Formats: sequence, structure tokens, C-alpha cells
Amino acid sequence: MLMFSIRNAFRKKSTAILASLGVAIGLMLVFVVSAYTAGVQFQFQDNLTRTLGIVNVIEKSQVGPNSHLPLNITDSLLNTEGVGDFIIDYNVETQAPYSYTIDYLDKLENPGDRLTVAGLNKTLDENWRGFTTRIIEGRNFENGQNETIISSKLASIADFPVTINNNITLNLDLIGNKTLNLTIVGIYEPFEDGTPHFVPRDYFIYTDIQTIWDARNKSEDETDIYTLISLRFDVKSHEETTEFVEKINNFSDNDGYNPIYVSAFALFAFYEAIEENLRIIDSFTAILGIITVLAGGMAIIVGQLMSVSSRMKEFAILKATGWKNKHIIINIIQESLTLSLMGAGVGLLIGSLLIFLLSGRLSPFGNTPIIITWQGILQVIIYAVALGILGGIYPGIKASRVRPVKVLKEL
Amino acid sequence: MISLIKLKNISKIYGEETRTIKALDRVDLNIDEGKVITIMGPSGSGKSTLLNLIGAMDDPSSGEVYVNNIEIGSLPERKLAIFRKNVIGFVFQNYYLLPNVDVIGNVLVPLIPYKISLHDRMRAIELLEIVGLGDRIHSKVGKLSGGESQRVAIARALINDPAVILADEPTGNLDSTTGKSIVELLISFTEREKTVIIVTHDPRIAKMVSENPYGKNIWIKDGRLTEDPEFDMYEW
Repeated sequence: MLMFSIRNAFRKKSTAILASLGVAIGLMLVFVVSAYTAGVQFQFQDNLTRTLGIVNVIEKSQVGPNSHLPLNITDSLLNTEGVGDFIIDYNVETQAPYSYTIDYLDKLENPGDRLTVAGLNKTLDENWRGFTTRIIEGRNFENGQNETIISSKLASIADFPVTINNNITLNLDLIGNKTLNLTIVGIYEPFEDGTPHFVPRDYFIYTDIQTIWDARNKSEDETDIYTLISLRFDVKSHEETTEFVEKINNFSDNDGYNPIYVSAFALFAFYEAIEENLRIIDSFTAILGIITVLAGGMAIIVGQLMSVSSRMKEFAILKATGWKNKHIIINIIQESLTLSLMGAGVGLLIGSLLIFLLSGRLSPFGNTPIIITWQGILQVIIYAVALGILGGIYPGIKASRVRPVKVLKEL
Repeated sequence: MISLIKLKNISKIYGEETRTIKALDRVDLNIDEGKVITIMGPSGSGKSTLLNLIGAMDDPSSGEVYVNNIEIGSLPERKLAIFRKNVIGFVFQNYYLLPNVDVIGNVLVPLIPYKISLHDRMRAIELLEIVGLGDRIHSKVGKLSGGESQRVAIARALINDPAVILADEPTGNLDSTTGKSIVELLISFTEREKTVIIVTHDPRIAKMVSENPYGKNIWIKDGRLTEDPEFDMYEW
């Protein structure tokens, strides 16, 4: 019956082509939008995956190179059951409390970016292969000399006084109108933590802890020092990161680090908001798909109704020769499926061509990739099947209700 | 002889309440197996209605129709379809072949929903040879003459090996020579134990049938069966 239906689908060629074309345009739209959405999802997931795995472990520590976290903590964590199998990157900063400054904010890249002065324990940082081992120009600071090393990202900003041996004056407004005069002695290369360019970030200016204490008229007795270890795991989901964080916290609680305060936290909260927006885009795509199915379904229904109306005698004959009602309904649905699947094929072809064009230099989507996925193709096929079935049911029922004796009465 | 078709007190009324037309009026009829019958009568006399009732294409307003001892009126639509497939073969005046299917495809149309076997194909070829179209099995039906088209329709009616062939004005669109050959073909199926019922208003067909040992003419007028009239046009 399938071959019979396929042949019959094109009995009224112009109607069949118009119906298929209507379906093709609708499904092409769904296909292109799904490819674009897949591209946005991919870009987001790529950023998210890199950022999701970042876990900061903070240890309340003491002055000097005596962190209570062992140098091989990452190995220890890896050997802890349930903690990630792969560490793809890590860095360690050992620093005094942050001191934010409002200077130079207008020169930073994004709204929300901050300039942060941090005290660094040189010895500990070197042990952890931190920033002081990544000097790309100049040298490391000396303790107690009001010297600083700055990020190469700051160095790339125009009008920022970054030349080696330049002096910078930073007002530590947020901690009580203290002024810090520092001489730039080196530029370090920061770690690329995978954070997308649009996420606000801190630009660190490092000096020794004593220099900051001096500026703030503080001392070891009055100030806490924290060691921050940034670990980046290869994770696929929020849940995985959360599990890591729990494991790390359990690790610190249960393996002899009490009463030293160690805590871990993940950075993914920001992305949860973005993911919510992506869910809205997904919903929009789904609604678009449903509208397309309805509109395409109407095209199929109208086309099939026209076809069925002009073939009533044929159905009367089929019934007279022993076809059951369900045979006629199935036959019409198969005809509709033929038209809708042909429309899907044409839609996929035109859509692919469009995606190819949109992926080029003239793309209105900027650098956002447009990705053809199996899910996108499957979605179009599922919609086409739904269209075919929905578009064929009513005309099929109408055709099956034909009374041969009425239609053939003029004989 | 076994009575294959029995009509008991059949009436058929079209229309509603005040505007009604009585197409059949208390008709009783028995038709034996292997007979060839013509149902003769003027236009509007009820002959096509009678044929449609026998072929389970319509319901009587009252009375009972038995075919093969099955009371058709008691069958649900699903079983009526099976009944039409297995017991009845229809031949129409306008042939009603499907234009997008070749000759053998048209013969096999009744079997399409039931899966077509190699045996069915062989039988279709055999039937086309019987009706004289053995060399046209893959021809487009649009290229066939009226007589050839009707032969295809007859082969289609026979594909399920039905017990009854119902032909409604089978020669209505054909010239007299072609019409005669079609009627001869239909009559020949009585040799294969088929019961053939031909609705016509052409007395020449009635004469051919009456000359057959298994033939019988039935006259219908105003919905009632009457005695054989005298035909004065028995020459083709």
C-alpha cells in the first residue's frame, strides 16, 4: 500500500508541491533556528564547562610559607573517592586580604571589572608555581620595598601606566582611605581560567603582604591571611562540581585539618542565570516548532482535502472492491506523510544551504557558531511525521466516510 | 440449484417524510448459483438500487438480503468490506480505473491493503489473458480503448474470485460490437460457476442472456418486479 500511497500523493502535482513547499519552508525555519540554538548552546556549554569546573579552596593560614594545605593536595584530592578524575589546570595564589581600588576603573574592559591589590607570599607562591613564576617582563618584587608585579592584561590597556619602573598610586578607599605607592618591577602572565570575556573579573596587582600591612597600619596579629587554591576540574555538570566541593570540604573536615579553616566553593552560580535564559530560548524554539507544525499541518490538510474531494469516486470504488475504512485512512495518512517528509527533505536541504551561508563572513550572528546536529535533523523528521499524521487524519476520515452508492449514483 | 441470493420483501425509500421516492417496493427475488441475470427496466425503475442492495453498497429500508446465506443487513461496516472483497465483484459503466496505475496494478487494486502475493500477480496476469489483454499488462490505462478499459474493470472484479459479479450498465459507454463482446465475456463466467447480474436497459443484452441456458431476464418497473415483457429489438 505504501508504494500506492506514494504514487497517489503526487496525483495533483501542483497541490502536492505547494503543500510540500509550505512544510519545507516551516521546517527549514525550525532547522535553522535549532542549528543556531545548538550553536548558542555549544558556545555556552563550552564556556560553562570550563568555568563550571573551577573550584576555589580557601585556607585560613598563617604568615610565612607554612600553609597547612600540603603541596600535593591536588594528588590527595584526586585519590579521594568521588573527586574528579582529571585536573586540567590549577594555580595557587597566596595572598593577604584583597584591597580593592576604584582607580583606573574607567580603563578596564567590562563594567564590574575591578582592580585588586593583593599581598602575596613569594615563597609559597613559587612552591605552587603561581604568578611569581610567570613573570614575562621585568622581575619579581622584593619584600618590603613597595614593589609590585602587574598582569599583562593590564599592560595591554592603553593609558595604564605599566612601564617597568613606573610608579602607581592606588587609593584603597574601600578599607579606609589608605594610599599605596608602588613601583612596577614586573609583568606576569595570568592563567587563562576559561572565563568568558564578558564575565567581570579582577585584575590583580601583587605585592608582598608586609607592604599592604604597612599601608593599612596593620600587623600579623590583627589580620587574617588566606591561601587561595584555584583548581579546575574537567566536569560536565553543576552537580558534578557541587559533588567535588562537598568532597573537598569533607576531605578538609575529616583528614586532620581542623581547626584550620578550609572551604571550597564553585563559580557556576553566575551561569545558572544564563542557563535559565537558554531554557527560554529552547522554549521559544519549541513554540516555533509547534506553530510550524500547526501551519504546515494546515497546508497539508488543505492540500489533502482538495485532493480527497476530487477523488471521492476513487474512494467509492476502493470501498466497493473491499477496502475497509481504516485502509483508506491509512492510505491518506501515508500520502500526507509522503508530502511532509518530502517537505522535510527539501527544508533540510535549503536549511543546510542557508546555514552554510550564515556561517560565512556575512553571518548576522557574529562569532556564534551555527551547528547542524543529529537532534536538529531528528526534530525536523519528527515534526514532519507529526505533520503527516495530523494532516492526514481528517482528510482520511472524510475519505473513508464516502458512501459508494451516493457517489456512484449517477451511473 | 442452490439459491445464492435471496431478497425477502425488500423496500427501498429515498428522501424523508413528505418528499419520498420508493425505489423498490416489497421485492422478493431468488437467484441461483451459476446463473446470469439481466435486470431490465427504464431509467429510475430501481434496477441499480437492487444491484446496490445485493452488493452491500446500500441498506434496504425494510426486508432482508441474503447472499451466500449471510444476512447483509446484520453485518457491521468492517465485515461488509470483507464481504464485498470476498463475495462481490463490481463492474461499472464508467470503469473507474485509477489513471496513475498500469493495467495489472488496476486489476490488483482490491488486494492492495491485504498484501499482494506472487500468486495474486499470477492470477491477475491469467485474468488479463482471459479478458484478452494479456499483452497489455503494463500499459497505461489512459491509452486503452473503452472496451479494453471495461475488460480491465472485469478482471479487477474477478481478482478476488468472487461468487457474484454485479455489472451496472457495463456496455453503456461502448459501441455495440464492443458491448456485445463484453456481455459475451461476462456470460462466459457462468462456466466458472460465477453468478452474473447485469443491470441494463438494453434489450439486446437481455436477448443474449435469454439465449444462454443459465440466463434469465428480470423486468423491473416502478420498483416492482414484473413478468417478462416482450422485446422487439433482439437484433444487434
